[in-house]
Amino acid sequence: MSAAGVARPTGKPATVEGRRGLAVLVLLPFTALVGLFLLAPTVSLLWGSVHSARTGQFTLANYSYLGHPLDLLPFANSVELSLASTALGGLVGLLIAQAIVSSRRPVIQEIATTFSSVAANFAGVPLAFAFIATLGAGGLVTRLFLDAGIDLYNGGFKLYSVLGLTIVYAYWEIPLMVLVMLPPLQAMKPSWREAAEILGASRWQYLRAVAVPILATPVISSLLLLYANAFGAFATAYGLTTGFVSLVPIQISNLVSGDITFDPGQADALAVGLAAIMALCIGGRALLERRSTRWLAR
Amino acid sequence: MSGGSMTGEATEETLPAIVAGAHAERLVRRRTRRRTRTPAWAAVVLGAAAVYFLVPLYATAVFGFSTGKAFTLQPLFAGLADDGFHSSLLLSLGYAIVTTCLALVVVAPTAYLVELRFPGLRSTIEFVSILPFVIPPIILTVGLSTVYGIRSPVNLISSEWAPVLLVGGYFVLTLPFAFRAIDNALRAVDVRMLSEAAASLGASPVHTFLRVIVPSISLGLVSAALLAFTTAMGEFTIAALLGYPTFPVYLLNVNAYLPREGEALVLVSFFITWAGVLALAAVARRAPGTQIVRGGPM
Repeated sequence: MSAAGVARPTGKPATVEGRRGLAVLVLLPFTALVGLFLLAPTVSLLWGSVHSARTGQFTLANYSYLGHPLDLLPFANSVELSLASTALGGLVGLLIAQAIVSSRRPVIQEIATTFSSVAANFAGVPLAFAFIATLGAGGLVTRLFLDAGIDLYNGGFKLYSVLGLTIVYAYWEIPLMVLVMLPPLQAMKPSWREAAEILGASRWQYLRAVAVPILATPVISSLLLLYANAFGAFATAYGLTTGFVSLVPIQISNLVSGDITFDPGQADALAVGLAAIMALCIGGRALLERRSTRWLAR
Repeated sequence: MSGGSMTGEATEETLPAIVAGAHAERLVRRRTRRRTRTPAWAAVVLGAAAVYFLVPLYATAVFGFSTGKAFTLQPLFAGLADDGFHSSLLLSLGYAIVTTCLALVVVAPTAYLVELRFPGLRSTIEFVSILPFVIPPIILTVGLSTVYGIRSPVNLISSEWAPVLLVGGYFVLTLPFAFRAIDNALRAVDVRMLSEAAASLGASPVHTFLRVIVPSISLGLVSAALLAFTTAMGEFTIAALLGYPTFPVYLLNVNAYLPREGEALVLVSFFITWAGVLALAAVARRAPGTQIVRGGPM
């Protein structure tokens, strides 16, 4: 970059087509960083997942988890947790987003948006400990329930279970849904509803024939984002359970850091499985987003 | 407008119109009055949401700011005075600052050149910048520890180059946000026209980039910097699994042996998040469309 600092002669025709080699040189740091720290690890995962960590021979044994119901338990739990937190976050988030739009108070909209951004970014270890103070065995809400005569932990509730994790994950899934759904909800023009009313449509008909078809694309796209976020989350689950819950990200970390369970080959294979699920969600979302931006641009 | 003879007729004609007009106006006014009032259901939803989102923070405060029953800031002061807190926070700050600078210095010229000189690379760079969503931190960690771990020929992790590994990983994690923020800003200004104008006035490409492009995308750069900074400050997965004692990692450890101090520091972490979001919100107010949530698995 510094070599190009030499001033070029003035009076030349307006052109941005300078020395091509120099421009390619500027792209080099980006290419190097992406290659070294994104592509190399990704390729290593793909390669490691089909090779034995011990002998280096080609093998599909690392993927044997796909055929064993017990080894698929982390996937089953992760799917359950992701579905539950997506459903909860999606439903409640949509409701809150509509409430924010319907409130028609700029102050409420401002506060709710800012707080949603904070909550959506407040994930990981701090969130885990905030919930241990709330719903842990000695947490504030747990003790409130106890005072009211309800023993949550004797009733089978555990913060470290899939149900407990769902409640914790909702803390960022709900505000994330609020933030991604606010723009499409705000883009719904009151005149559409009025037009439908003038044409004699009932509230239900308006929802079915106008609102749902328009909002379906952004809602599905947002749900995919929520699902992927729940599926790939590691820090929050690890902070809550320090590794004692059977989820795909936790299982992967146990396989690479555990002494007894150390199996980098299987970790790579699980990681490829996780990446495949993420790719489906993110890819689907990219396709839908292309459609909805076309619509929002109108 | 018309002759006196027309007045009577006009009045008779206009009166119903005026009445109708006034009626309509009253209707409109009533409707707008109804609209400015927050519907009851929205108030209930927003109130319930506020309880769900504030209770964990309140519980954390109760736990962190009390010894038994009385309110005290002692755990907070003890937590803030801890040497481990200082060193871990400084370490996180250092990584966050380096990552932020790297993201700006590398991504901005790359995005600019792709926009100006290599439009053919656009789809590639867009794909690369979305890839970290498919490869969440837990998978990236496994890949990095295979490629640069103790069993690899390029053993970065136990060499003095270890910090490079974390910075490289953080660069990848911030790439989606940094690229999107900068690219959005670049596309909002006419990069080609600005560059051609600068070139015709005799500015070198570097001069054009630093003195013309950078000032015109400054809000995008600030937003990218804030997103990169908050991502690196809060990152847990790579740091924990590769053994870097950053602030989130310290937070997990301190909670194991000093829970009250730990909970007090959770609130500190919450306010760090809050500060980052408020700064982003301030940018967003001046540049609508600024992304204020990271929206990726953490």
